[in-house]
Amino acid sequence: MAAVVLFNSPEFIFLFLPAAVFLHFTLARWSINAAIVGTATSSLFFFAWWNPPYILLPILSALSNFWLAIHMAQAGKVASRRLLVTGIVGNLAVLCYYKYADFLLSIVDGHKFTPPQVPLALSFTTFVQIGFLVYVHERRLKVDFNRYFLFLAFFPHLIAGPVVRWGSLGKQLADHERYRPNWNNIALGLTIFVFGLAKKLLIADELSPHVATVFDAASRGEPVTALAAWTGCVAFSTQIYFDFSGYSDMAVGLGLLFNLRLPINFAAPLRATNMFDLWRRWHITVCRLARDLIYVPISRANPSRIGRTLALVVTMMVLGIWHGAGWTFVAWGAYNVVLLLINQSWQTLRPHGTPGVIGNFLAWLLTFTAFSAGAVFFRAADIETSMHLIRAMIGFGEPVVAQHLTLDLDYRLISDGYVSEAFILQWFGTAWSIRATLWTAAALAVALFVPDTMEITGYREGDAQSNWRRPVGPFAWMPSARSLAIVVILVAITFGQLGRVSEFLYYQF
Amino acid sequence: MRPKVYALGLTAMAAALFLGTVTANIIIDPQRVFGTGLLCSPLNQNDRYLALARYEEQADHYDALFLSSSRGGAFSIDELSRRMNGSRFARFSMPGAQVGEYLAILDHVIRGKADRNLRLSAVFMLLDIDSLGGRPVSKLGLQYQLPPALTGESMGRFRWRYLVAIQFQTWRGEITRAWNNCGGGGNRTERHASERSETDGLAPPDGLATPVGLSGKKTITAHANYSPQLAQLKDFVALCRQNNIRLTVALSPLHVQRLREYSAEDLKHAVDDVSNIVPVWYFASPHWLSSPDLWTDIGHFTPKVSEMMLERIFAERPPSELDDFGRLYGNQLENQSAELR
Repeated sequence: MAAVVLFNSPEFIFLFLPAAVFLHFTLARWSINAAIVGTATSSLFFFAWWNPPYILLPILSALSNFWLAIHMAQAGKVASRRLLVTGIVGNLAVLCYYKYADFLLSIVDGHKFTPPQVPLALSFTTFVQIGFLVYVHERRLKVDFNRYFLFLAFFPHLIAGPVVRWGSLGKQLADHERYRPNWNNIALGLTIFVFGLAKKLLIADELSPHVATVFDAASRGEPVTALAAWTGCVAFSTQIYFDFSGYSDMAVGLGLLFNLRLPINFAAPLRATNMFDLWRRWHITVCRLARDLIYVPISRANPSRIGRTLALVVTMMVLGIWHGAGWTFVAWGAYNVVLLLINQSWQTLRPHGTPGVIGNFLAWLLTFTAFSAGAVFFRAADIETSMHLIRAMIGFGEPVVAQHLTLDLDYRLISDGYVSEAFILQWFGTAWSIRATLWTAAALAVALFVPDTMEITGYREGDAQSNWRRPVGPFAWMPSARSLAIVVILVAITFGQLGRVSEFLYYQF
Repeated sequence: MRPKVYALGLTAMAAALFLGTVTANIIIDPQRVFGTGLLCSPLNQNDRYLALARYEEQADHYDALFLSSSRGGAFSIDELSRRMNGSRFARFSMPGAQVGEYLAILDHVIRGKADRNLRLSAVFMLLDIDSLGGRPVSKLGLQYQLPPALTGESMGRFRWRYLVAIQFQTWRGEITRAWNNCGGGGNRTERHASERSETDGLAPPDGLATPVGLSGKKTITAHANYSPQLAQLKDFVALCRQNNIRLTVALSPLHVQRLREYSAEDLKHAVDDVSNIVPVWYFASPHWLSSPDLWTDIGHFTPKVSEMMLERIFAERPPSELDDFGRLYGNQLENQSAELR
């Protein structure tokens, strides 16, 4: 893949972003339309950095979807519905061509499937476009092209969300008051951006090599101990949470710099105590759109228990496949269907139970363990690797022969006599270490016990349920010398990590 | 505090951090990629970048390459040239260098010469058997980055990395050295020695090190990149043959203390694998080689050892005291030795 301008790269933070914000508000003093065109152009430049010829893809997509939207606004209900179906099929066809064609062909002719290089942002913009068309169809709205194009291409959400809705961002773009700098939002946005950056660079990236080691070992068919497989899955779940929620925080922060409020995408999901709760708090914007576009129509057409179950199955399978072409994602979707159905059955059996502290802890433990175990499908390169890890997790893996200790992460512990090499080989094998375990535990503790960015800052855009928020007391953010000092320290620490830029996990989806 | 003051304060701090970093990197130039040259010659200079830049300055003058890790720093290019019929060697002695990088350099040089209707006549390659298959260090730190001419990266992007890198310790070290009239901090050979354990592929900073068996002995053939690097060596040899380049390959001798860290059986296996690809001079570690005056540290030998190596390789009748030092290995030796010598 060609180079991507990442939110965590110095060129983005110190060159592109200040230039884009300055251009936006300078042009806005002259004309709102000029600001919209200017920021849309900045966004295209941001996209083109990845692969210039591919810039045609969002432009053509925008033109064709806008054409459909114009005609839908003018058409009768039936004609509009036809146009809507055409739009949905067209958007999905483009996505299928780039993302699923080889996978589907591999099912037919049996050739070995290789994951394709999906054009940047395609999965997310497909969802955004379909949501937009549905919105226009339901309300028959006239849409201004410039606003629509910026809504689609606005660089903070373009590559990996949060998935935006025309009903929210479109309205904000029509509000002329938003084209003046708002220092409250700029202060808040900078703070949220820095928190997101810290999540990504200081936590997710530290877990990344440990996760890669155990999953790569499994993909090579090397023996992996049960402990290594389990902790590797927990580490990946924690890594992807910090990676993607960090990215989403940064996107929200960037939006605020432009005086636009993007929806939150994560609500401390790793604290959830049941699977439904977890999925309401994980990747909120995509899950909510999937609910509105898939679950609700199916369950409305057939409101029986079977109909709702069918809706749940279809929604989760689509969400699974949306993340990537390949049997691992199909399996991941199916696995989550099973978890949700078990959860649904439990709620039917125990509808009014109010668990105590121990009950809550057990509920969290069960939920988190089940969710983390899903990493064997989500992170693994193929089904064989997944099965290799599953066998290890349930104690049927091959024993580690322990010819070589390939990691020297625990050498200090060994040389100081705290632990023996044989102990590490027996429990952690050659693909995991005590240091990786400690990193994972520390990261998980942060996810569970440290207030989330959105709790600290009190940002609530798109947060439909606020019962997940805990009082943060003295940690509550407000523009003050103390907050400034803390954020500046965080900037200094994270800045030191900017040199080792690593891509966001969700870019690949 | 008013939000505007907060936002401007935060922006100003970040901007100051950024501009301070850029300014420090340009003035101090810790990797010598900007050519500022205001302070002393830095300890962490990018030898890969500088070696290629030196070569490019007089590309037409050179007709031979000397490729090695920092261990090759002990070799005298003049002596090598004298031994090899007056070939004009360009030196590429780069800390932690591995065969993949040698291949990239060779390919670049051959192409460049072909464009100017010139040819490369000889290559002397010093391989480090103990780091064979280790992870290339060229991605591990700024001082190891390959120059854009070898990677296809733009010069702007390459320099941007050096411009925005925060490297407090390096800045402080260079300023202290400048303050002490370029003294302190050790000379470059010592610096290479001190950083070797981190950079020669034996124990990279992220902890992915040379595999160790239960016996406590390190094994080379279990390195993750072992097979890919053997394949690169094959490509290297093939490229030399295609271009009729006289190739001499030697394995750098190991200090006896270092040698003891490795499984003897595995080491032999690795030497055999290399010699199956190309005849190679293997300098075992006779007991006299552990003499302290022959080593600057356990990773780096002195010029005296390199002279003995050249004597052993090129002399018609090497002195008898070198009988147990250096032997040409190669499964196809009968066919290839004539070509090689």
